[in-house]
Amino acid sequence: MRKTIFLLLAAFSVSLIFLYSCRKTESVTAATEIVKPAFSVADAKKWYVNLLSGTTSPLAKAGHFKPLWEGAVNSEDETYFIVESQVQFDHTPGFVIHPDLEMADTNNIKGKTKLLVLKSKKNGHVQAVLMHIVSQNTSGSEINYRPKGTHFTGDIFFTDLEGTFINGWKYYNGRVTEKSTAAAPKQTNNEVVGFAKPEDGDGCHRDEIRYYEQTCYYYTDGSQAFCSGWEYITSMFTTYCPTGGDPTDGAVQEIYQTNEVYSNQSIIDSLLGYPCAQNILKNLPDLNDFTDSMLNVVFGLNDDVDLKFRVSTRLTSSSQPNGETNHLGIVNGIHQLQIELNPWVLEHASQDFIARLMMHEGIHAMIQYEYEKYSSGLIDSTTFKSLYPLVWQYSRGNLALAEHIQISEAYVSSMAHALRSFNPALDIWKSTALAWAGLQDTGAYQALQDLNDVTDFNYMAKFGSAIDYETNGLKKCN
Amino acid sequence: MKNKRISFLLFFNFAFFLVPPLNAQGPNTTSFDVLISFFSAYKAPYRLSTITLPFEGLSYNFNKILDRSFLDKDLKAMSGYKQDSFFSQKDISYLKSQVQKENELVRIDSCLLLRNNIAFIGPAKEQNEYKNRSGSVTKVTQPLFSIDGNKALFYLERYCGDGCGHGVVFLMEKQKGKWVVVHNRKVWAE
Repeated sequence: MRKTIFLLLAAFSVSLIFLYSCRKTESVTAATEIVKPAFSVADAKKWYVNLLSGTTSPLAKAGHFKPLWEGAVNSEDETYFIVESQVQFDHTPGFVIHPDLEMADTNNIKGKTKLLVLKSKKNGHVQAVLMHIVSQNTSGSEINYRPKGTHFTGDIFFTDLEGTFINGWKYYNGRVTEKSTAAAPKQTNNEVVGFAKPEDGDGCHRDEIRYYEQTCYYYTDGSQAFCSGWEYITSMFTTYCPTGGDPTDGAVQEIYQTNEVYSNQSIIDSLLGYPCAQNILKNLPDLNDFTDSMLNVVFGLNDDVDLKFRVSTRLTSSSQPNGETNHLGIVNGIHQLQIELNPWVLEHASQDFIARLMMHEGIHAMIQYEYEKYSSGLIDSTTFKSLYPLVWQYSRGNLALAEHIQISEAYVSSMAHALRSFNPALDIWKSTALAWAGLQDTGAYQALQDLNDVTDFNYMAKFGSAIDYETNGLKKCN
Repeated sequence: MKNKRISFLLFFNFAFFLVPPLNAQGPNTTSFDVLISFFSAYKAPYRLSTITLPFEGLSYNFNKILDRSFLDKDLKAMSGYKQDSFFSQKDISYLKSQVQKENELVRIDSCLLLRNNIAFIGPAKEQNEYKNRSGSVTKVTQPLFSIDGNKALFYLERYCGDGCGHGVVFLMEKQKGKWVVVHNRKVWAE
């Protein structure tokens, strides 16, 4: 009898152990599901790889370093989901930050740079920035975007991938003491790299951020073998002002300001520092016909498009392209489109030429948006073919050329009409001539009877003097 | 003695045939075939009255684009290619191994170009084309080849006057003895 009871108890105990084990396993699984981040390292890596593969421009920006995703960490603040990764540079950056007009301690070059991939909680927009940490008392490698620790003393500043300053913060024992915000990377005469200088207030001072590089060599396991000496590259100047110690301070600010004109989608306008160009952009959706037709796709109606206009820091001279459009990928179902505009053009060309450029690149964006929808299976070939028959016909040969053929055959007259709406002083010939700009690689352009006149007019609309613009009824910026 | 001479002559003649004639099979000839096939097929849409082919060489950092995810994007959707990837991973490694030779010139025979109705312009004319507001200049790199030599890739840049230009990578395959364009990937466009 005792033996039977003992066996029953033993069996019951074993059953309990199994039951408990099962529940424990379930709870672990459940816990794993709960802690899955809204924006994972894999998501960030995928977005970043898309950024690299989509275009030459991000490649040019980001090709000089390699993120080390294995050690990447997640965090979040009120504004962003954040993935933070160490990076390995071809040429490692270092900094000396000191008050302007005082001697820099060039024997104390230091800095640690990390890559942040930030996903906005507000609109899902994803962007990548570099966080540069210049610690007074450590190497800085232990400092994370969030939290930064209670003992950190030094500087943290943020740049985009091209090195354009976003904002900077000074810390003392883990608390923010000063901040600097400068969003307009527009060069001025009296600054090596001219930032929009905040209004000087009490206790504000101007600092120089001296930028150096050294070449480091690594073992196959990724550990650093040795580095060359530091080489001075350039300087940036910005003004720091005291803060009130707000606990939300110390964060990277949104690089781009949402343009309220496009309230039903997140067109993000970063043409800061170029108010004339911003004004042209704001006016585009109001232009008759054009708004009613295709540009609505990218300028207003579609919620699955995130279009950014950026002042290019890569295309900056008059001989370089006026603008470039790229589809950077699809993040959470939202198409990331970017239009880069050459600042030389924004400063010197006529408003009419700039408006034409924005329309031209906008159509590229629209075609690329539909192309990506087709290639990712969201629309079928019949739909795509009906939208852009010429892109379909010629894309197998050369997609870049096919887009221009489509624009030349289907959009020149509506662009011309919109340009006349933008500037009623333009006659039909002038507005049509402007609409042809940038399409010289098409057969239709080469077949123009007034080809030389059209070419010369567009040259004048870009390179002309104020008198030229006035004589020809064009509007000048500034 | 006579036998020795005969033996020598036989050996000499045999050895003569072992030495390939100038411009016989070799990577440059193959490169030339790829480019001529490309331009012959693309004369019409490009309206190629003038081309600059790289006597001076077009230097390009191929490392930026030698990635299967980049090259294979839209391969099936836009080109109807039946396989998922154009190049194998081994091919990609082999392509990368050729990158160090990217500045090696593609020897173009201008007589052959003329026979193919493609005009050739040299550096001086090229500068004039840049100065000409409606001028155009097309440049290509040395093609890179797959391990079996039946697939190739090259980069083309075209400047067609102010505000007009693009850079495209072309993927070509030898089908029934002829090089044909299978796919293209836009790198940049204005």
